[in-house]
Amino acid sequence: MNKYEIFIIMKKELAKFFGNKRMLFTTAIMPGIVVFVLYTVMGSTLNKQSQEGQFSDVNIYVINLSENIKNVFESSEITYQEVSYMMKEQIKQGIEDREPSILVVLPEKFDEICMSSDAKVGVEVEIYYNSSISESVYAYTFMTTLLEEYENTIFDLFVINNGNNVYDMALKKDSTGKNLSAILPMLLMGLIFSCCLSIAAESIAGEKERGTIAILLTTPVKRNSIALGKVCSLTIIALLSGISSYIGVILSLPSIMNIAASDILSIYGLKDYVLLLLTLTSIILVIISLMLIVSAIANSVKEATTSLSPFAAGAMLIGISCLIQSEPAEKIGMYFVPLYNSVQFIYSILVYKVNYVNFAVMLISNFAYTLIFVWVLAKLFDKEKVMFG
Amino acid sequence: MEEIVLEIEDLSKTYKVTKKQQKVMNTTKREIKAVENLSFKLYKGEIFCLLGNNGAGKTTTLRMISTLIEPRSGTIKMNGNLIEENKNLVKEKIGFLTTELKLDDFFTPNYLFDFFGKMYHMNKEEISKRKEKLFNILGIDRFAEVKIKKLSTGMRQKVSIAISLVHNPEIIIFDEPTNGLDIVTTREIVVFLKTLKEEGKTILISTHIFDVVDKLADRVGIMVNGKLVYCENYREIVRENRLIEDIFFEVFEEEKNRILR
Ligand SMILES: Nc1ncnc2c1ncn2[C@@H]1O[C@H](COP(=O)(O)OP(=O)(O)OP(=O)(O)O)[C@@H](O)[C@H]1O
Ligand SMILES: [Mg+2]
Repeated sequence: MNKYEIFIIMKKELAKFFGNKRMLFTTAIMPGIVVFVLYTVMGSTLNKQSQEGQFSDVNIYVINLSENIKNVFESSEITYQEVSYMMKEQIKQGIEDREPSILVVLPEKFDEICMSSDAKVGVEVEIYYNSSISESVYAYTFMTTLLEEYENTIFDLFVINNGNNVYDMALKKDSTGKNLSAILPMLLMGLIFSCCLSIAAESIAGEKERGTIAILLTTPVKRNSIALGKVCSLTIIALLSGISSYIGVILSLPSIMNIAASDILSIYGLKDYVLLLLTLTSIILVIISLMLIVSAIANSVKEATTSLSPFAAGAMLIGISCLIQSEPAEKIGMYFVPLYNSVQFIYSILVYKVNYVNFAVMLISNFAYTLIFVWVLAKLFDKEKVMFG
Repeated sequence: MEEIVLEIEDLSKTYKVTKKQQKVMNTTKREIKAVENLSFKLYKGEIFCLLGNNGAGKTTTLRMISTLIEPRSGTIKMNGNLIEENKNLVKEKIGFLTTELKLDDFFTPNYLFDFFGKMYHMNKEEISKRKEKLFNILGIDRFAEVKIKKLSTGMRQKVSIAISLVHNPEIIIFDEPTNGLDIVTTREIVVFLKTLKEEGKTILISTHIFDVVDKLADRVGIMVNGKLVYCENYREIVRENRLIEDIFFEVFEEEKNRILR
């Protein structure tokens, strides 16, 4: 291995990348923009939907409104309309005709029944709604919950969380981390993978196609230097794309989750960012070196791209593991598994469950995998069947 | 007696044929003998032209000499030493140009020349001296800062040639250096190769253009089906008042008939 050779090869790969405006744009800037636009659009439609879900526009009709329920409604700031029993059929028809409304029918003397022993048998409450209208459904769900809560207060012996205190002790930062961890790893994996794919597929298969690898191999340059030079430079490029997507995610958070971007920046400290960067670097090293092996074996860029594509789907799947698992993996053994280890560690960073032993295991095993892959790659350069097959 | 620079003895190379290739080539053979019992010597300061039809095994031979691929059997000695035992020395002394080399579109001749110079561990001064000379002779100066993408085939070939000679090799091995070039550029390259010979370089080129042979060759070898079926001094051919073209088709037919029989 020769540092100078590695340096020169890296310099060339990076020059090619940074000198090519289109490449620079598609790998380093686009991912961020794509994520930002995608998430902002997604976020604002979601917000719009949930606003539509508010039942400011829903007419809530109540028949036989009792004093207690009235209090419940008023404390929940619900606007409602008291109507007489005579109106029941007419309103039901309206709901059927897709008017945005629900109808709550309480029995007469509701409060008295509730207090009496008859109540144990069951107090019948009817709520009419239209499941094909989202506002109606929303109001229905809300009303059901409200009434069930009320029911609990009169029948249950235990009084849980009935005071004026804030009972949910989760800090803002915890819930943000949890929300982030659901999407970020998958998204980062997907974007990093597609970026790695596009640069790695071309890197060696392209040189084989053009015949430049033959020239390089007739120079006295060490095979290890070529392998390592390529792996390192492409890792830097992919890292840029990873950082770009990360920034895209942060910037789009205000619209997707009603979290201010500044919150995200402030809930993670410098230490977390350093850990994240190291984790990303190690995972990219593994991906790039593995992909370069595929690229070296392939006979054309096209062939390399085709054989690498299934990997991208696999990476997304591994990213989804964060959605499925309620907690990041704790077993140390899991941190030996390439890709999965980094995804899980990113998860732990996001939910503040960093375990430094796991971190060390992940980092060291990823570096070890990279070295093995680089070694294999260097060997492939000497295989004439692979290079000139 | 002249100094022997390269000595090739009983060289053979076979390629495995994949199922796919078998179908394409319409054979059931498991192996192709790309090169078979090839022997010849290269003397210092001469130009040796290797003639052969498509698939004769020229590229395979030149690649073996350049250490890119390994022979199945036989030996190649450079200045008396086996090349497989001195790969790095061989690489320093050989300048190799592959057929249809497509340089990176994005870079300029200037950058690529520097890059390969560094790959040979040359220092800045050595590189720029060498560049000045080669770029001047080949007329690359004019477009040294233009990206390869924007250059014509002829210009690109000149750049490829310059790059393969960056380390000032003693032995120059060019695989079809005039492939796909027009008569003007071909002439320029022929003239350039002559100047290299005058500098005392030993040159081995493959070609299937008779005119190039007529202009350059000190000796001619003709390969058919992986075998060197003819090897003669060019002067001898001239003395006998024969045309290289006639000789080529003569030995080519002969070999074909021999196989059919
Ligand atoms: N990598 C390879 N794998 C399998 N067969 C090969 C390989 N390279 C060459 N061959 C076969 O070996 C034979 C010699 O090929 P080679 O390229 O050496 O010929 P050539 O004289 O250079 O031909 P051309 O004038 O077309 O360049 C051909 O039959 C070719 O199909
Ligand atoms: Mg050839």
